[in-house]
Amino acid sequence: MNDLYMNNPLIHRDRRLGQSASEWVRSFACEDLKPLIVCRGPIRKEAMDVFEEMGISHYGILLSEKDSIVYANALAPELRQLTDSNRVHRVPDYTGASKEERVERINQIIQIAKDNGYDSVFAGYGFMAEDEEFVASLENAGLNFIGPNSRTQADAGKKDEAKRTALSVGVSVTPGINNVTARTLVRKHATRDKLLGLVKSHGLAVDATVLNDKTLSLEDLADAILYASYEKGLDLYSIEELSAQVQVEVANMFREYPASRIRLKAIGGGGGKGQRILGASLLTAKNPTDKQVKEAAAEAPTLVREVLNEVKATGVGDNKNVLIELNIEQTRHNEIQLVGNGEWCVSLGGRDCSLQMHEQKLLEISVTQEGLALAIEKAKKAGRKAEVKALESDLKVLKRMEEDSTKFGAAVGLDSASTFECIVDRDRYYFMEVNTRIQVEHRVSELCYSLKFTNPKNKNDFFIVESLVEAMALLARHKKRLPKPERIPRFGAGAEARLNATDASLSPHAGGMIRYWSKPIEGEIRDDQGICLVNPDTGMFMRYKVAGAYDSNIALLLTNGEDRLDSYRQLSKVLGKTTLRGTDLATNLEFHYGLVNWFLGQNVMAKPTTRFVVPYLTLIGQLKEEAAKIDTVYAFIQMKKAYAKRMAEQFPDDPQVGKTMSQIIDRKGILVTRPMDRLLEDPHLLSGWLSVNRKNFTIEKGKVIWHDNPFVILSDTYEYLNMCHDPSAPAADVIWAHDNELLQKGLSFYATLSGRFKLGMHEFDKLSALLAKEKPQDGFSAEEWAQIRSAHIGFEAGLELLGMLFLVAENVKFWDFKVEDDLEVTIPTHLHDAELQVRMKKVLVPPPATKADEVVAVCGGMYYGQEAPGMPAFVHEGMHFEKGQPLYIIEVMKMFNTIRATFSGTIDKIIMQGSDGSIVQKGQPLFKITPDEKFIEIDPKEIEREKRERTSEYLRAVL
Amino acid sequence: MSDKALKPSLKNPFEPPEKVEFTIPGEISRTTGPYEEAMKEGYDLIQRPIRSVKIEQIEKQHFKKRMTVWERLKVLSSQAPNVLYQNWGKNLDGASLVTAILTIGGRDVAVYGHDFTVRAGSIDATNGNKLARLFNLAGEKGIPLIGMNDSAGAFVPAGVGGLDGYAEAFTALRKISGVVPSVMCMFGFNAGGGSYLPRQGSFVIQPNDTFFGLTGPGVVKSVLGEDITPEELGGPKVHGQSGVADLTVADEVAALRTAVRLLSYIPDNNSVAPPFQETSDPLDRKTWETNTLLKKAFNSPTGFNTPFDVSIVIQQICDHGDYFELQPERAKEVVTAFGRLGGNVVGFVANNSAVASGQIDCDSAVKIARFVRFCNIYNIPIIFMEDTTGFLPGREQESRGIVQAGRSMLDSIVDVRTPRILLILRNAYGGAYASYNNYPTGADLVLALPTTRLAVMGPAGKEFVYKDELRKIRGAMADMVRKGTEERIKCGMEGDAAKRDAEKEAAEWLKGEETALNQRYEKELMNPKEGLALGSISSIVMPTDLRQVLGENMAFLLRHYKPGPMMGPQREFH
Repeated sequence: MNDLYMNNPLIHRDRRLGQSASEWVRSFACEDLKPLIVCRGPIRKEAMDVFEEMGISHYGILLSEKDSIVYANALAPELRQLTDSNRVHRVPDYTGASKEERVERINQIIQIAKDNGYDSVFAGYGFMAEDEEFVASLENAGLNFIGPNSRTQADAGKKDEAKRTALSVGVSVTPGINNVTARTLVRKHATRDKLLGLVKSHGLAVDATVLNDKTLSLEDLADAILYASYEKGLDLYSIEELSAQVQVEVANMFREYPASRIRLKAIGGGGGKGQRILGASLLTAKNPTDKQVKEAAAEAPTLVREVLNEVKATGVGDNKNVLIELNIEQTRHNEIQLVGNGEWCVSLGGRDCSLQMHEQKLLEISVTQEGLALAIEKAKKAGRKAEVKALESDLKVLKRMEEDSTKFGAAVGLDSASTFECIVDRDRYYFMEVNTRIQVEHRVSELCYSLKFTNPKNKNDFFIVESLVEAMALLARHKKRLPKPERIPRFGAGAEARLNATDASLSPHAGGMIRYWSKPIEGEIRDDQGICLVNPDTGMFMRYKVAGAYDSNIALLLTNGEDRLDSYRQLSKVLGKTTLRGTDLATNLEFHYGLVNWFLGQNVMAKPTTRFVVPYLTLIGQLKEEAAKIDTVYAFIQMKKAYAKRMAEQFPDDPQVGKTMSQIIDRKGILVTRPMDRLLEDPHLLSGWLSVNRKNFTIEKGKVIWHDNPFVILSDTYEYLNMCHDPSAPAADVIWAHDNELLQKGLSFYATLSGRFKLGMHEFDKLSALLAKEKPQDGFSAEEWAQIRSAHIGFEAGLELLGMLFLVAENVKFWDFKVEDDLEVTIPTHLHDAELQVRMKKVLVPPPATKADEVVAVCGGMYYGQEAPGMPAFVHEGMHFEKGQPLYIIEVMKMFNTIRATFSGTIDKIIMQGSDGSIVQKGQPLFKITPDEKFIEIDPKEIEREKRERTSEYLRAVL
Repeated sequence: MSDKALKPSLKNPFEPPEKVEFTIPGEISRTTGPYEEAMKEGYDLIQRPIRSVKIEQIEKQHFKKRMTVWERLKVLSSQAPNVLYQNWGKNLDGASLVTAILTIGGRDVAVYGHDFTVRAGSIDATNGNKLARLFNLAGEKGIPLIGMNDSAGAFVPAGVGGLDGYAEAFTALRKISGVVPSVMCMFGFNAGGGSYLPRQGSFVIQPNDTFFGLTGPGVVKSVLGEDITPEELGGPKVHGQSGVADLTVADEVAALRTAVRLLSYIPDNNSVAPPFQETSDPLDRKTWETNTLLKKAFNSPTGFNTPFDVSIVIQQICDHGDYFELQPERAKEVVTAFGRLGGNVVGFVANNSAVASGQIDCDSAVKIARFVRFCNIYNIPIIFMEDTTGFLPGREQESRGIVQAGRSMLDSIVDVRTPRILLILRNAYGGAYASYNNYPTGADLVLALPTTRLAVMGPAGKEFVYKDELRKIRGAMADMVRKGTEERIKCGMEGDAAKRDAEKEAAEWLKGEETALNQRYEKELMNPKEGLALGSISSIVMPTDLRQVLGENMAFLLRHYKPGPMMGPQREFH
């Protein structure tokens, strides 16, 4: 029953090289590898699967206390697969909350590995995977790290080092400063002698040749000294001094590059962590004044602290270097997948990860030379010149990126998988950083290329690796023995959507429960951490609490295709067919479905930048606001009346016609309004629908003119909404049987008719032109022709209502947001308006409103304003609090219950004056507050009246 | 426009005219005679309950986002129902009620569902009788019952007949109560008898956008002048919190799926055990997360007085962590749930300190009593988990009858004849301990975590245990103040100020002494030692061994339990 989930030919296969007939291939078996998996998320489950498929039987996993106790309704899903509890090891968390904890955790992991007979460690894309110290400790403990070695980590993983390496091998980098710590030190000790004095007074171990090299710049000398100080665990500068220096450098850069923002990156950061952007106020200033620059730069010290905190580099002796870079505004985020063994390095094409929000990637698609070449051919054939030019430029950049990245990989001795991250600006690219680990979106590349390892002595003796995790294990086990592989194109394209627990505005929404998840369909890769592993005993889906203890990601959904269009279509199909049901559950599934279809309706080869998503969401908010004004039931009744009137005028002597018409319209009631309501309720679905239908209508003189058959579109809409007739599905989830009967009847009518005229089902303009003729066409008898035309009127009657959806788009200028011929995306400027963005976010997800201006005691008991004596108070006057934040503790019968805010707001006054332990009564006011969202009572009758008025306006355009 | 002459039609002119001729399915056609005529009539009769309904009626039902009874049946099982009395009623249309035997997961289940598309699913004398026959059949054959209620109430034109119909159904359902379990889904808008009848069943499941209750908002408005929406009057939020609905769900599909899920935990009838399910989850699996949970709670700043969510303990014990909670929206200070342990269905009754300190009030007492009675009748063993500071005192509770509600819980526990284990997690004091499945009330086994604080009273108990010490300390106060004042005056302090200062000092001293006694009380008495010494606790179990210890003991107890109907005298009260 779990077939495509458990046995998916795209990702599952027998990987036991030990079973091969070839002795050479057998020599690369990994069965004896004993890895400990120390990460979480989808990669943990993937690694478990791959290791099992490789014949590795002794692998173990870590289970963090932080996320394991939140599975209130089932054990961690991985435990349904790994039932040997001797191979499941508990740790408080995976990385530790402070530097001390991290060191402690590293030692614990080593201890667990040693005590339980593991010889290697796999860290997936966890924070530890890129931690040089972690990797070095493992290496020192004699454990094999399945990932890049510590030297590579040092040279490529630390952002400042990586940038220097890049410069030395001729890779282009973003303008900026990578040695602000050295500059800080030089500012503090401005001469060579003073710097050398530091070495002496602190007894730092700096290479004598460096010290004696008088040609060395002060900054380089300072750098050497700093490294020695980190070794020794000393701080030669304070965070204040560093921050001050950063502020100076930032101000200089603001002056040098007007109308730009600047990005601060802690060298140990990644995945959006440890990064801040400043200077938003200068974006529009072509010639900023000194005051403006100063003000913008003044933010720097706070941000420096924030980024250092995030990467836990605030301790004594930590390398606190921060990169200061020009923020390239209109950029695309591309990255190259690399695999190497220290001697050779192979690139596996690129991935475009531009579709992201707040630095969190959402949709990742493959970019390959083969794919681009194919797309260029197609565009050429179709005569789309601007597109050809744009794609050719992309191909050039990709080639360069791939070449440079392999050079870089070889230079740092890359001996596993890594990612070379770049930003692409028109025909140029800048190197950003290297992620010395496997990445979340690695499967996108797996779908495009496999690796063929051939016996150097016999070209017919080879094996193929389709999994990067497998490649990493092979490299860790056999290292330099592996010959340089050849990359073999696998599928033309791959795409990945990250399914996250976020609401319609893409804000995190944890705490929901998944109760049902439809089975994967063919061509779907579902990396869901094992959520869909059913109860092994009963075969029933096991409820899953979306805890969000670490992040909001639920699963990764991937598809492949012969080209990008195909992979998008497949992704649309997968997303459309996915049904997730649950309690208090919010995911970005609809967002993805809408977005993928938006691109399908525009052009999938589009080049969106990293600034696409927020304005897009703003537009979606506007759609929702507008859609809410339509009452389909009212519209339907009005339409019915209009038809009655028309019939009475046309057939004044035959009331029977009016009756027939009324009956016909009645049959359409649910058929038409049900999918319309679905689309109007969910603006993400509506966006995708509008985009794929954008060429099917025009508006002329305020009237909607159809260019495709509304009846066929209606049928497509049911398919789009995953509501096609399906006898095995619950009736309430799909088209009702009587509606389907009518729909099929009409479709069959139009299929026959189109067939007779040798027209496609979508060639509506031609068909309606023919049907407008009174003279029988194509040899039909007069009687037949009359019947045909009657049927046409009958089937189409009532479907006009669908046209109202186009008008919603028209009213919010939906079509102005578009992909141009040169593949650039035009975003209407007003969608960048911050105020509008905030307002539309609230439209998409209305925050909880309250009538209250007080917080009262939820029950009687003893009141405490802090968690324990000596700890900070939960609230103080003037403080803003978020929903879910603890406000006070109430002790009932010696039990301390933490009470959390049910809405967000600001504390105006603390009324509760008693000391800790004072008795309060149920309902007693504790604080005066001002809620963020005041509940405003609106008369439902007034809303209804407005809706009807607005609906009537809409009706004028379609009737 | 030339369209003027065109009349609209929904006929596809290309489709061949529909065949009206009837042949016996599977037989080659030949010349027909009166025999075929009879066959056709018979066939039409079979189809009648489904086919005779006008499309407008079905559309009305669908417009309200509700399925027809036939569509609902398909969600329950992919197998075709064995329909009983399908042509009942003078219109030969089944009289707005479908009764059937349905195979769900290989088990025979008696099912009924109102057909709202016929006479709005209303009840008259005849279909009341039809319902009663189904109930009798279920009781006789010992098969569970599922009801899909969607009825406007009594069929008014049927007069008293409709009322008699209800009465007959009520009676039949009551007679099989305790013999076979029943699950009732509430669809649509059910009032009056349409609410009482389903609530006679074992479990009620209510989806959103439905109403049931004594009367609808219309009557409430006319009688009391109150303006109220159906949602506020008898929606799932209302009934979920009062326990009138045991489970509330999003929609009809969820309700039916939930019914099927619930069915997997309950037996066919009171003579057999619930379905056993072989498990791949090893019984000796360590319950690490219980350890983590307790460690996090008890090592936090609020120490042993920190509430924690007990559901994780249940999850840890159950096979693959899967369990099914009942009345989750009501009286959350206690969790009642079905789960499996080593393949056997077990009922869990657990105090949840995460909500209102786990104190038992009227609602939670009744919730426990109701659940325990069900398990007792249907041969389901029970694991109780105790972590409560006691019954909730106070005026409100007394006026709501906590004495009677608590008594109801106590009695239900005393009555239990199925295997029953008590696991003390932490707090077990006084009356709550005494009434909560201890050895004297009939527990088969009492286990305790090392964090157990079993005592005659909670922290307040120091007043009694250290009565003498406290009297002495408090008695010394006056003397201290006097002496202190004297000393201060001697040193030159002014009289009043000296007294105040001395009082302050004495008060601080008293607080210190009391705290010391508190700590002494916690150390000496709030632990499992006394319970162990007196045989009130059989043994201590480590948090990581919960599954194994409970599983092995439960298996032992079940090996020596013979499922069967309850015997013995009827007790007063329920």
